[in-house]
Amino acid sequence: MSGDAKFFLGVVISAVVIIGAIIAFSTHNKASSGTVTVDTTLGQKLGPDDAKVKIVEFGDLQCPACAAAATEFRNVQKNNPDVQIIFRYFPLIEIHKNAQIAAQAAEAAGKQDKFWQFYDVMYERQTQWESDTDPTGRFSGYATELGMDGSRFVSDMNSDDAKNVVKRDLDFALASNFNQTPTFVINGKVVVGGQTASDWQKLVAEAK
Amino acid sequence: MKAKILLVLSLIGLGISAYLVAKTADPSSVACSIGGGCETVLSSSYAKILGISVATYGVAWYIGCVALIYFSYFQPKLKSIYLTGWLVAGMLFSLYLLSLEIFKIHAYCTWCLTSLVVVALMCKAQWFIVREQRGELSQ
Repeated sequence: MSGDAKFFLGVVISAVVIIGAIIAFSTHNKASSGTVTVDTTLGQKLGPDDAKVKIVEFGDLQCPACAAAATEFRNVQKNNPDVQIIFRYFPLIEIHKNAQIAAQAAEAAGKQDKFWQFYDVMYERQTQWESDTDPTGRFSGYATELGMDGSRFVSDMNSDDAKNVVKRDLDFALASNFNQTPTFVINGKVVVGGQTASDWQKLVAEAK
Repeated sequence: MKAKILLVLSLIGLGISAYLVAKTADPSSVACSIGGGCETVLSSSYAKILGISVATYGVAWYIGCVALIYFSYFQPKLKSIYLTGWLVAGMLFSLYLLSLEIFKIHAYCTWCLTSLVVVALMCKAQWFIVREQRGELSQ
């Protein structure tokens, strides 16, 4: 084997070993960052109020990572009816131009007891509305499709009440030093990023 | 010597892409961040093409680089024009990804930008090699 060929082989083997080590290390360090006390009487809830395990999502309806995480988050409650899931608004308005109005729209849906149905639709159809200049008409259409009163929905969406709720949640998230969505709080334990079904089962079992 | 630099650069790029593939495959490491960042870029709707993550295309492209460098300079069986074309295509695609970060995603991923720099350096190294081959530079 020539000197150049030996060099080539040596560099390639070294690179493969280093790359493998970096990947193995990075995938074994899942994001989890401390604890925080969250008022679980606030927010949009699903599941029993006396649940032993309460999971709060601080989410942004325009965040693709939240959309990707939504199905498994909803499944936690479906698979564990004794668990309560709660949604609080954390719109990343710096990078998602429709995040604020989307949060207000979700709050308006909650006024007509359709929050979770609206949550599903917003995440499923995120790519339809994320670039809209004014998504009001589209959101109103979703609301009507879900059986809501469209004019009441628009009025609630633009109300000071909805804006204040979103601001309250956003202020809490920022004061808690959250800087990513989705951020989940499971009985006070903070977990950042989407979780797989098995991750959720493990987290719920730990919290019980 | 410059061919060895090309090889080392392509392996650095391969490492970055492989790391990003592993990162996007783990849902707990994908999130949207205040002020943008890698998580935002990797979880954006532009992070996949035809259902495959852009980072995966990056891995394939860098493996192609390693193969072309080998057969162009270490075990010469190919004309270096193929490697030049491959590098130019990679550079153009990297610039397209940069434009998405600037104009569409409004967030910047340090790893993606590092990969862009690696590709640019590889183009520069190849440019010197080609000029040397043409006798435009003193040996």
